[in-house]
Amino acid sequence: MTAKAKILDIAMNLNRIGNWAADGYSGKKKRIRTFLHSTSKYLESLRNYNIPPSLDKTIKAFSDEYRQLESEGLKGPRDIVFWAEKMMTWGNILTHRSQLIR
Amino acid sequence: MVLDRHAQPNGNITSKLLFSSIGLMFFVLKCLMIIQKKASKEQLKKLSEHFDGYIKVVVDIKKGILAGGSDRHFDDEQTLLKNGSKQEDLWGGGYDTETQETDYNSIINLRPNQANPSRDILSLEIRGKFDEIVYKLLK
Repeated sequence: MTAKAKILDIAMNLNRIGNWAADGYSGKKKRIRTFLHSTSKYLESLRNYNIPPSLDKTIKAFSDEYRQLESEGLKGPRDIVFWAEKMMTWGNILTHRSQLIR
Repeated sequence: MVLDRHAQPNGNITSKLLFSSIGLMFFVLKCLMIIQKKASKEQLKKLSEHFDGYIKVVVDIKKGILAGGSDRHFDDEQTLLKNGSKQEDLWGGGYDTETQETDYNSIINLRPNQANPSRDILSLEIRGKFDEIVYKLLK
């Protein structure tokens, strides 16, 4: 699997999680947790890839914020819609930025 | 006196929290702006500051203007509504200044009464208008 495909997998997960949370966090909690764990594993595995310098800053910023978002998501976000929007925003940013990998 | 002594530190913490919240609010509001004609380089820099090159935007497809630069589409939407826009003309999405791509995903787009039962803009016609305005004002 390429780094681009891995980043797109992460982006897809983030958009899924964001949509589920916005639809109703409590009803989808179990699924959200499963996908948060899966996203963490994808993110961890990104270390084995050569990420182009143009993406370094974005991945670093995402990794830093994702730790907080994951922890909040596992506990239960205080503002669910805002948390969901943040997940989707990162999903969109990573989808765009993955295009920088040719 | 005892109460006074205890009140002081709590007051300081409250003040610090208040000032940091105001600071954050000021930062968000400073970046949020309505764009009615082609954005200048300085405006583009401010708009894209919050997400390092990515801009969350809400477009008024009727007036041909947009609001962007904030953390949440809701804030952009509210700004445009206060500016006289109509809810049904507002659509949210994003523009990445690095890849020059747009996306049509936003919490505010979920509008089944306008045949849009999704957070993505489903109508190709609306997507076209959205792109046209975003590229005209931000590219």
